[in-house]
Amino acid sequence: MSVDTLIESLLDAGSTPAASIYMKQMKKFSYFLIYFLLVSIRIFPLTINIRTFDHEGFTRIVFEGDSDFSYTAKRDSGKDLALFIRDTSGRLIINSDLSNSSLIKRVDNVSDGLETGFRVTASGNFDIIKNFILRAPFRVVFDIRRRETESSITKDLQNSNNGESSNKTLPNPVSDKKQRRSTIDVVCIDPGHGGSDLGAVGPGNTNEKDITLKVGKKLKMIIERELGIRVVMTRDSDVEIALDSRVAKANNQNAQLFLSIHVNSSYRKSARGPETYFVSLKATDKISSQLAMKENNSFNGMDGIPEDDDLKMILWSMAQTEFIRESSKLADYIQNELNILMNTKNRGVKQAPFRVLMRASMPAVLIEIAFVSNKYEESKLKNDSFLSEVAQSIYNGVSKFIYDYNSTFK
Amino acid sequence: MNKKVIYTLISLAVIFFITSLIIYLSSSGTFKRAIEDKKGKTETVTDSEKDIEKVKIFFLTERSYLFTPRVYEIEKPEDRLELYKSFLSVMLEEAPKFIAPYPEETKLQSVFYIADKQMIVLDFNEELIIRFKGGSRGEIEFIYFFVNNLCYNFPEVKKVKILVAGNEYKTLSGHLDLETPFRPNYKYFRR
Repeated sequence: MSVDTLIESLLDAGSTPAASIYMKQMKKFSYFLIYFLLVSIRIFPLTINIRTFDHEGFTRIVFEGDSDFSYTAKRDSGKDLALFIRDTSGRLIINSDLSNSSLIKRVDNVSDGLETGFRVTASGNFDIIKNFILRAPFRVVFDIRRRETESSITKDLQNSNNGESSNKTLPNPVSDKKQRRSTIDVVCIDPGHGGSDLGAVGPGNTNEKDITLKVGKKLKMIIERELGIRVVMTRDSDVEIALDSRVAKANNQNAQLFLSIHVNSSYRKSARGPETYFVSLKATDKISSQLAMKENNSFNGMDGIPEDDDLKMILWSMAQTEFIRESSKLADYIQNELNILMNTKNRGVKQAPFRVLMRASMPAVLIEIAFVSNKYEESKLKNDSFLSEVAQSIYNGVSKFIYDYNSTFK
Repeated sequence: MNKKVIYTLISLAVIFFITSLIIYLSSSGTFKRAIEDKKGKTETVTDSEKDIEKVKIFFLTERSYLFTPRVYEIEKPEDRLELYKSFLSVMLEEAPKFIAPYPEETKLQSVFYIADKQMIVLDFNEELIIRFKGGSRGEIEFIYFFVNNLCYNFPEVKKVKILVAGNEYKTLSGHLDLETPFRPNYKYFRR
């Protein structure tokens, strides 16, 4: 029996026109009532997107729902965290992106009687540092840290999202210096553009992609030779690689510095000189800087934060927020060295929302060696010995930064 | 009166008529007039029939890596969106007199204002992305030419979103993130 005939049989339809109108109104109301009941028992599936990011000193796991949901968090061992979702009637869709974390291994579906959910499993034991809820979109966030000792295991963490964030904080975040993973032993070099993406092209047809690759290779050689540390290249041949894949590679390889090498171009033909950039929240908004502080440090959710999805999204995608100070310092060191090489006036380092830098979980800078749009600088960029000097100058800045960074561990 | 005198008088009358017509059209029909404000040269606005909005537009020049301001006056329609469109028309019309930080073939296809987000959406044609000669600096100059000028002149506009041929792109030429709306960054302006 269809819903239509069911409703008609339930309603005793009259034969008069007035009764007929009444019956139609009742029919509409009945449809609405049935729809409301079906929605309220959640016939539509709940979709949860799971993202993970390695930050300095901790890993963030984000469970983002397409609508609000109630949950219970449980731990069966030091390596896992299970979230059971209430009232889903089994209709739960899970999408996971674990590519930005070296700690989280996999996500599995689990069932516990009436409730269904999923279990996140890590490669080693971990502790939950903090857990909070963010809204618009609804997100449950756990910050976890790989356990150093077995003494601080916490089991059976029970949380519910009754409007309050859970303050089951384990050890307080330690100071910046202590949160660092180690001294720098992996550097990622990102030669900009490649393949069909030529990058900027000079008036003499010099392609940016070729210059960046040459400088990247030279820089790799110098760093490995002089410092004996591992260098990861996002590309070492003429291939096109998406921006997001470049930074994902750096994050996955646990690189501790990210150097994106580019050649500049402007519609101002007179524009010249090196420029070194780093991402700054100030480049997008002052308020977002405050939001960053809240999202990165708060144990109490996002109270008082304006309803601005764009700002929240900026913050959410910006793993770089924690490394701004170090990125600025690195940019400054490199810019000074390039100014000396090219005898240019110091206009300081610059800030802008660069896509390739935003998601880097490490100090990250973008170096624009010179302007290929400027005929004089283009002629220099064609000279291989000049490119060697550029690589040496970048190395000088990087090595100074690494020396400072590593000396904090002595 | 000989023919020569008659011809001279007729010629003068024609010249006078044409000059008057030009003056009349330029003072009442157009929507903009540049005012040289830096060197003390000012022009008195005599058009009182329509509301006029004084705006400051920052342009890119060869002399400085910072944008340099010029003051313009534009007609002020009642509808704010029309005002933004007039303002953008002036920007696009005047930019080539300085340095236009975008390819010549670029066209602004449409403009929207999303009031609850205090955001202007600019939709450019595909030529922008096909022909853009960008480096980081080029992208910064293009993006902040629009973002800063709009946000500077219209306080209610807090951010600007850039689309190309109606679509959202990740970047223009591999640098700045276009997926997130831009807020102004006046470090690139000479104020």
